[in-house]
Amino acid sequence: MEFNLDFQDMNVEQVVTDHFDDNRTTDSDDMVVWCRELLDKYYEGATTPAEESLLRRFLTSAKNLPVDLEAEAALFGGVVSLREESTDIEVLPFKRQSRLSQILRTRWVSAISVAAVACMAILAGLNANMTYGYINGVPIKDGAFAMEQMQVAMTYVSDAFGQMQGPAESARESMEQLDKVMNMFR
Amino acid sequence: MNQREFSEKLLPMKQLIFRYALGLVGAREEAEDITQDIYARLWERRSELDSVANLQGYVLGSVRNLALDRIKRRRRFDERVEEMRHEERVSRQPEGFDLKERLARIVATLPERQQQIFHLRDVEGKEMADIAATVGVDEPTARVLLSRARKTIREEMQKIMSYGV
Repeated sequence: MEFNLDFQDMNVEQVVTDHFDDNRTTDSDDMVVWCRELLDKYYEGATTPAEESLLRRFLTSAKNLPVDLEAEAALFGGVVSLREESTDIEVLPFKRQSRLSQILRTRWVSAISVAAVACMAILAGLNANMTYGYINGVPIKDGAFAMEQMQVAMTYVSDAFGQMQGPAESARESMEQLDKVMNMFR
Repeated sequence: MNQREFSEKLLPMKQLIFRYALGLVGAREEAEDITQDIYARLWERRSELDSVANLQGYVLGSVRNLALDRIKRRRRFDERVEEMRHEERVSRQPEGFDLKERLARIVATLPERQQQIFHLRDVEGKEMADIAATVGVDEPTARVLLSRARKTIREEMQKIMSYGV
């Protein structure tokens, strides 16, 4: 039998009664017969969305299904379970740190490392041949360049404080004080 | 693809991506990880996305590849099938047995297009014409592939159900 009605708003039992079209009371055997017919169509990929909806409702709610329909009950049970799933996870990749800022942060780390070594070297009065640090694998032996890198790094740090904590005057003041100290060793 | 286009075209696919991943890996947390990873990867490749004609098909293919990579990396699939069969032998219907997970184990074995068509039709409830366009086949072919997918799933379900009888 063919039936292509829109069953969306009808209950399954009424649909099955209509399907047999003889005004008899639908019993569970009729429903199983109806289900098997519709499953044949389902496995041929020929059911409508409304018919598939009916199958889902019937196979996931009917009790005492025949053993040979247990596989279908499991299949539709899994499908229904999946259909009900949703997630509220955050998926806004452009809100995450951009590659540019990652590179900048890496450069900050390099620059700050150079600066730290430069500070220690200058304060310790070591000679000009020492290696102050490395940027992208290149050794930094120039004390003035290392100093410049340190100042750039401190600017980044200061700006970062500014973004995080507002004006961050204290950070800028600290940098100016540090600059004065460095000038004493030039 | 700029940020606005990315938001308009790809963010509405979030639930589809999540459920498709869940349908393949069967575990909610892992499906959420995959969903986030997919968006991060798509964002990194956003400059290439303008030339992609079938964005939904491209995204689903990416989800599948990532999901299967994870399954392979963890060498989980065969172990899980064996474990599942063992569970079935021990108890016909173990308490708390997850139908989603059982279905996912089977769906993960289907060919790519069958996976996509089955998911888009039976889970997402899409029309066959839209599904055919997404997968890149004509509608009769999509119905044939859907039929094969459903029959394979039934056969595998029947094998699982037969254990313990």
